[in-house]
Amino acid sequence: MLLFVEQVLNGLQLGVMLFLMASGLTLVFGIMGLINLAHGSLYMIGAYVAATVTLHTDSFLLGLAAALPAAALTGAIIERVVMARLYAREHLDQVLATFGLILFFNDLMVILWGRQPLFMNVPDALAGTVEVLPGAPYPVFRLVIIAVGLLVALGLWYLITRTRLGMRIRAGASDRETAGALGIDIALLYTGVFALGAMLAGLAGAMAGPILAVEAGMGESILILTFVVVVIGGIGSVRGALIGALLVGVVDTLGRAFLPDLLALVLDRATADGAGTSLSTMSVYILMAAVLVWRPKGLFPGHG
Amino acid sequence: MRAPGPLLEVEGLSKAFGGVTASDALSFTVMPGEVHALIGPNGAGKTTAVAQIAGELKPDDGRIRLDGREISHLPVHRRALLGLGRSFQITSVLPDFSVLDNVALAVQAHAGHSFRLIRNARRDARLRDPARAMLTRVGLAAVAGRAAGALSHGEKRKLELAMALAGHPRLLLLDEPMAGMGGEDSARMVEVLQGLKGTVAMLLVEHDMDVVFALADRITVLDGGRVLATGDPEAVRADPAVIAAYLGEEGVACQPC
Amino acid sequence: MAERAPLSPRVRLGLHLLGLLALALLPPLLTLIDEPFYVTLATRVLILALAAVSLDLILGYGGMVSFGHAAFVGVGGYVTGILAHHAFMGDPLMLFGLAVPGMNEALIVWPLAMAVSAVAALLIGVLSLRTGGIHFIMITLAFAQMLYYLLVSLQAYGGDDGLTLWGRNTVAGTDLLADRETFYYVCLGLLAVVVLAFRRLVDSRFGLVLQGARQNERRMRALGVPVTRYRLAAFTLAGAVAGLAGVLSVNQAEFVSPTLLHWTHSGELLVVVILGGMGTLVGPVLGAFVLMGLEEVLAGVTEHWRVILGPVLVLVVLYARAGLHGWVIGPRRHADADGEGAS
Repeated sequence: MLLFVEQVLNGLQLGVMLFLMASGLTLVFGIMGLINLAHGSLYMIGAYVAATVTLHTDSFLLGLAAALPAAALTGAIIERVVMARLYAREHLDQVLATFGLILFFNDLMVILWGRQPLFMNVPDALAGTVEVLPGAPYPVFRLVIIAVGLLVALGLWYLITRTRLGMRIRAGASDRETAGALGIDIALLYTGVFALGAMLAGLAGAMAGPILAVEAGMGESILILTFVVVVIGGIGSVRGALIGALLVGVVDTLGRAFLPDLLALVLDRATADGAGTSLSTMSVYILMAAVLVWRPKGLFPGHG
Repeated sequence: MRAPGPLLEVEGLSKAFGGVTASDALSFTVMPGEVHALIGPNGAGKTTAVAQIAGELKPDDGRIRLDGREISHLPVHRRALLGLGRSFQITSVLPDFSVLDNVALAVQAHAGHSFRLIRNARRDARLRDPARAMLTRVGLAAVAGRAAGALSHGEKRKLELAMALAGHPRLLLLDEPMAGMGGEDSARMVEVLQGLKGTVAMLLVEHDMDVVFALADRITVLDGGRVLATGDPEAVRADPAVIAAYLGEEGVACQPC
Repeated sequence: MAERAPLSPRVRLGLHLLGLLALALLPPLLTLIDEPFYVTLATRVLILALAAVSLDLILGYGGMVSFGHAAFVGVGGYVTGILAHHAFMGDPLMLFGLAVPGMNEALIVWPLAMAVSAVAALLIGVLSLRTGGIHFIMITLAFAQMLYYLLVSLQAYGGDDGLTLWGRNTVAGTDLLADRETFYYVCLGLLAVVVLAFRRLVDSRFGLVLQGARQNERRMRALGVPVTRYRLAAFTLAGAVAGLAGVLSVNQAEFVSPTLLHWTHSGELLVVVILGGMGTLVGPVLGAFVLMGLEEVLAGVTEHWRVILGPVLVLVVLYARAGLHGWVIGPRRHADADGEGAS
């Protein structure tokens, strides 16, 4: 039971990370119609900058404070230089160009930081554990990640549904021309939305730093999981991104933790371990397949 | 054999988008060989009705029968094979293919499955000859070799008609076949359609009242997703409800009437 | 790069034959200038080209942007690798209670590998083709990644590290394929056969339906064509041919690992098709040569050659979308009224 609670929390933590990634990806798709493979690169840049600054200053907060603008700025630059030319293009072109960006950024990181992964420590203030249930200690840092993720979700909801900027974003999403006629500077709005998504990816990367190894190519494994999230949640929907992300995070984590044991109830141990490990790596994809059969456009199709 | 009943029966068709009712218990019939016009102000639900009959939109409620057979749950392509030919409101051709290719594909679609992998379909007389004949019939024989995407708007409209006719449909669904056409093209299209009258039934959605009164045997007037009136052109023209809701208001009434 | 006017069918055919001749003369030429290593490189290019041509069928003609094509390459490769592994170990492969003996015989293994790849493509296709557009891209990528992780988790077959083979497959019991040049010609022959067969296929009724669905799916349905089943058939066929490329690749390297179906390889296949010119079948062969050549040259300049290749790719997408085929041979063929232009 305690193990179960711990694993659920781990799942939630992975889930909010995925949400930080998926919300940006899905906003950019919903509003600009752009599929951006290089979203994982922004995550990686966030992680590298946070790790480097933290290692030099001993302050995770400073690392975070540097990572967010770095990711947002990189996002704004690639939006202006590359993405803006891709909005009117086919998805295939977008895929190829952003694939090119991934190759570029991965090798750029190697040139700048070398092949050795960077490891950063959990900041001292958040290094301990708390008992979430009696006898179930859980790392504070991971709880903070969950809290940050949920706060961002709340903030995004507020931004999109309750503010003038959100209204503009929604206008831009539903009809480019009307939005233009309303006097909204579409180009600026798009750059802004893209930079926002980039910043969220950078935030996810920065927070992943103390948990994972910071290395070139780290963005891709989370990117593909993020695609699974977006497909499950429904492309263009921030609400879907949240539900999908938590679902994928929990299913993936619980599958890895418990599937081998569950299968051992019906199979012999060795087979169960083998099959359980294999199945658990596939669990989120099986989930995606099930959602596709049930609802081909995801749980929350369209915008919202 | 069945007694000559209606070719198309639409019964209690209903469809809502969010809170907006696009089709409200819609019922009407199209008799064999009849040209039946569906008219009504913008937003009356004409296009929604056509989309449900063609199978692109799933009705919330109601039934559609073609020649007595219920087709409400069949996918688009099955309905097409049962005899529903279609032209779209916005021209819809295969732009990279030649004009002849377009029609030949329509012939092919009705000639059984297309899992034939080896023989060159562009040299298959069983597809090309009927396609050429159809192009001659609609007056496009001269541009058979051109890419369909390069045709003028009027020519594309004709091509769409040729594609629909190539499958020997029993009912043509024509969604504003004159939309965007100039006067001359439009008149030519009316001629073509008049020539088809009697050989194939048509459900015609059209804004131009000249065209409607020139072609229609019967007219159904929609307003707010409901049937306001059905009858022959004279009766519909005289119907006070129609005049109030549609003809009078839009000021179109004055033209031929 | 400006598009040129299309060349006449005769000239095109001539160019294609000339290209084939050049490829056929390549090994003796390389031996002559004492660079036999390049025969191996050229073989790898041909195998990449084969996978890319199979992708071109569904991408260029069918309009299906599959970002998971390397998965089928990998499946074909693993069937070869696993059967060879069991042949070497002498224990049968147990599959749902069925004992499959390990084997090395190409005449059995190759068709079998293609069939397994086809089944994988069929299953993934059934699910992915429920959607289109951007969904399709993400879903094919995700399923390919699923297979990748599945193979990584198979410790019995080396997991991450993969399997090393003890030699290439035999052909009717002979070790014909062990010879570098023979293997090159086998790859070239298979590539030529596939290109010619696809050439016919795209002009057949099946091919026209496939292309029609790319141009206007709604219209095709309204004409009475059940679009999805033709797409699925093409997707499955492309998967089988990709599987063959995997078989050849594993035979060439005498090694198989999950890297074969890494998602970057799916991306690379897309790049090859676009670089060469999609919807041309011959273009991807050109694209394979150019990409591999570019990689060789750049890798000679810097270890971090992707930092150059990436932006080159972006520039190609932004400014040279017709691909090499469009640049050298003219834009993709427009339908001639009666198909006289088949080349």
